[in-house]
Amino acid sequence: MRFFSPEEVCAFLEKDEHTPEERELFDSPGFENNNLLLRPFGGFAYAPLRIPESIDLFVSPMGCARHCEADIVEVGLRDRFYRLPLKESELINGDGERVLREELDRFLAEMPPERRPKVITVTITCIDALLATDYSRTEAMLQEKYGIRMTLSRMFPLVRQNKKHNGSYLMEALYSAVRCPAERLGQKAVNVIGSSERLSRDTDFFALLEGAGYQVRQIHDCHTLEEYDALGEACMNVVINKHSVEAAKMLQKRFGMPYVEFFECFSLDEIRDNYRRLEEALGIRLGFEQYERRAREKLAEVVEKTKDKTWAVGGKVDYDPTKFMYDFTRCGFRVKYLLGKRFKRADLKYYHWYRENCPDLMIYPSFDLEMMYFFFQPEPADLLIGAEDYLFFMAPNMRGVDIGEEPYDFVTFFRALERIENALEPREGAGMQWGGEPSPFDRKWMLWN
Amino acid sequence: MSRIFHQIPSFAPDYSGPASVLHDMGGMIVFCDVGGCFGNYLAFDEPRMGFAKKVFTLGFQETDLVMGVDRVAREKIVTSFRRLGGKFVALIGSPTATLTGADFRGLCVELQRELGVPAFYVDTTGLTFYERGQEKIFRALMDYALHHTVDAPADVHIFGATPLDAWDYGQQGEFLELLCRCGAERPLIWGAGETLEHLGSLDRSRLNIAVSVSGLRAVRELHERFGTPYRIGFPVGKRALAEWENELRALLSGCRNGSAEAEDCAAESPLCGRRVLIVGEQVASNMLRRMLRQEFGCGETDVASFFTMDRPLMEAGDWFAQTESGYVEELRRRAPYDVVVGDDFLTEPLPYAAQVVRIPSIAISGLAFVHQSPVLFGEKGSRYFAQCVGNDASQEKREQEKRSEINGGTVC
Repeated sequence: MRFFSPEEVCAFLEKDEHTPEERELFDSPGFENNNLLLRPFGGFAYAPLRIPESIDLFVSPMGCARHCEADIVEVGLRDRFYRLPLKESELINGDGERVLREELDRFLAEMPPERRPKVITVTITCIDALLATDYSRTEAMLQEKYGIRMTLSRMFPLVRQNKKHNGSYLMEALYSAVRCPAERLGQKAVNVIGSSERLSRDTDFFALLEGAGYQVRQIHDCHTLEEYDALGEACMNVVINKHSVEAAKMLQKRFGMPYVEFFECFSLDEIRDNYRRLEEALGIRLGFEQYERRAREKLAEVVEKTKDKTWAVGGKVDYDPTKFMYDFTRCGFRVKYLLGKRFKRADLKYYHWYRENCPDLMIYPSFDLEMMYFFFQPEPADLLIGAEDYLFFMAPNMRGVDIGEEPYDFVTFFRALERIENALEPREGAGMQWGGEPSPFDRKWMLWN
Repeated sequence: MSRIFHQIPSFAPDYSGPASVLHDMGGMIVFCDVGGCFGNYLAFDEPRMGFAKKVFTLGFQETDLVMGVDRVAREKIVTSFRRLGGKFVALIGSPTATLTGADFRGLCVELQRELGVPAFYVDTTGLTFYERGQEKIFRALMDYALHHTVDAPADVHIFGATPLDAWDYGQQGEFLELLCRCGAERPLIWGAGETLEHLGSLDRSRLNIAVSVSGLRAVRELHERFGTPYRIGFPVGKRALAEWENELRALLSGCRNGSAEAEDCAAESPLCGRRVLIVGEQVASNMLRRMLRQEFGCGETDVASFFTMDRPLMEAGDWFAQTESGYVEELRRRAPYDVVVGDDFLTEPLPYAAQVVRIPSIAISGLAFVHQSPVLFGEKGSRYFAQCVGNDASQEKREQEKRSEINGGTVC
C-alpha cells in the first residue's frame, strides 16, 4: 500500500501547479475509501432529544431512519423517538407537510394532555433539502392548538462539505427552541455547548468557573423545559467544538450572548490558551495553573513509559487527524504512521512540523480507495489511537487505545493519559471460550472465519 | 390508523437488498446516494465486512445536485473502475437519486461501452423493503443471464439466500451440500460467490428454489418460460430435512431413499396444541410453521409479516401488517397467542403475555443481535426450538414479569 513521507506531502502542497500525474497520486480521484477513519459527527438522531420534555419525530423515506434508530436504542432514548415514513406519492405530490400535520394532530389528540411533550423536534433528511418543504404550518398548528414548540433538525449529509456543515445545522436545532425573556438575560452563568455527550462535572473547567461564582450549564443536565430555557440567561457561551460555532452565533444574535472558542484538543498549550481567552472574555483570573502542572507531569510520565512504543494514528479523536497528529507528536509520542485525510494547503504548517520533527513518518492516504485493502495487511505498530480496533483484526498485537471523553480541559487530558497508561498493562487472553456441542448461534459471516 | 411508528424500527430498505445479493459477485457496487443509504447498508445490513469489498457511494454534494450528477458519477465510476477493476458495475438507487431524475440507465449504457463490462441500474428508492430491491436485482440479473447463455454446469439455482434472510456462508454451504447429496451436479446460490457467467445456464436449470419471498417471482417466471420445476423454502427441522432430501432425490436423480422418518416428539412437546404466531419473512416463517406443527405439535399457527406476503403462500389465519398501530391492533384482535416467534423488535409490542422465542433478523434489528441469530436449517432448527421451549427458565421469568406488569395495570 502506498504512503507518503512528510517531505513528499510538503513538496506537493508547496507547488502552485501540479502535473496530472501528481494530482492522480496525491488527490486520489474516484471514490473515497469506505473507512475514512475520520471522526463522525455522531448523534444525529438522538442529539435533538437532549431538549428536555421533548420527542423527536423523524419524517423521511423509510430507509433514512434505520441507522438513527440503532443509535437511539443504544443510548436508551427509544421511548422518545417516533418516525413517520413517507410514501412515494407524498414526496412526488409535495404532500409530506400535510401528512405530518395531520398525523401529529391525531397523535396528540389521542394522547392525554399531561403526557404530551412540550417540544417536538421534527428531523428531516436530504429529501427535504431538495424539496425545500415549508413546515411553518405544522409549527403554527402545534403552537396554537397544543402550545407545543417545534424545532426542525436537519440531517443533511448533502451539505457535509459546505462551509456550514450538517453538524452545525444539528447544533442550531438543539438550541433554537430556547426561549428567554429580556429581563432574565446576562446572568452570571456560562453555557458549555457542543459536546454530543454529557461532560463530566468533576473537571477543572467546571471547578474553576464555579469557584469564580459562575453557574456552568450544559444541555445534558437540563431535565425540564425551564432548565433548558435558562440556557438563554447565561452571559457567555463556551463552544467546545467547531461544529457548534453556528449555534453560538445564533444564540448571540437572539440573546446578545458572546461566545469563546474552547475547542477539544490534545494539546496542553492550547488548553492553556483557551483558558486565557476565557479569562479575558469574562474579565477574571481562573487560576488553572495547578491543573496544568499536574497534567504536564502526567504527560511526561506517560511519554517516558511509551518511549519505546510506536503509534499508529487514525482520525477519530479529533475532527482533524492532521491536527491531532501534530498535537500528539508535539506531546512527545513516537508515531510511526498516520491514516491521514485529504492533503490541503491549509494544513501545510502541520506537514512542515512533521518534516522537521518526524521525517520518517508514514502518511497513508486513508481516503484513497485502495486503502480498503490496507486492513488485510496493516502496517504494524505497538499502539493505535483514533481508529477502531476491529479494523485491525489482521494485526492482533496492536493495542487500541480508546481515550474516552474528548480532552478539552486539563483533567480530561489527564484522564486520556491514564487510558493510554492502562493500555500498556498486560492483557488477559482475548476472545470467548466455547465448549460443548456447537451452538445454534455459530455463524459464518466471513469467508475466512 | 396512525402511521407513526414508535417501537418498531425501520427495516432493511430496498437498496440493501440488491447490494446484499451482489456483495460477493466480484463487481463494483455503487450507491447513487448522498452517503446515508450506503452507510445504512454497510453498518446495519451487511455482516460480511462490506467495507472490504468494492462497495462505494457517489456521495452527492449539494453542488452536484444543482449542477447535475451524471458527469460526476461517470467520472468517479470510470476512474475507480480503472484502478480497481471488477466483473460488472451495479448502480443502486436511493431517495435522492429518484428525486434528481438523473438518467442512470443511460449512464449504465455508456459505462458498459466504455468499461467493457456489464452495468446495471437498480431503481431502488429507499421507500420499500429489501425484498423488493432483491426482486429487482434478480430481474436484472435474469435478463442478463438469459441474454448471455453459456455452457456453465450449474443445474440448480437458489434465489434469496442472503444475510438479510439469515443466510450465512455456513447455512448456504449446508444447503448446497444437501443438494449435491441428492444428485445436483453444480447447485449455485445467486449472490454467494458466483459470477455473472455462472448464471448463464439459467435456461437449462433442472430445479430452481426460492428460499425467501424475494425469489418467488424469479422461480415462477422461469417455470412459465422454461418449464423449470421450482420449490419454495428450505428444510427447517429434522423431519423437514428428511422430507426435502427425499423430494430432492426424486427430482434430481429420480430415486427416493426410503421414507422420511424422524422421531415424533410432538406429544411430549411443551408447545403441543398451543397457539403460535410467527412474525417475519414469509417463506422462512412458513418453513418454521411446518416444523412447529410436525415436530412440536403446535396448534393454530399464524404467520404475520411487514414484508411482502405472497397470497398463494398464505394460510387462512395469516396476516400482513403495514403500520405499527395496525400491527398492535391485530395482535390484540387475535389475542391471545401462547407463543410468539420473531425478532425482539416485533415481539416487544405484544400487548399481552406470551412465551417469546427470539429469532433476531438482520432485516429488522440490523446487526445488533446478529450473534444471537440461530441457524434454523435442518436439525439445528429442531434443536434451537427444543432448547427455547424446553428449559428456558429466563424466558419463563420474563413471562411472569410481564404478567405482573399487566396485573399492575402498566400494560394495556
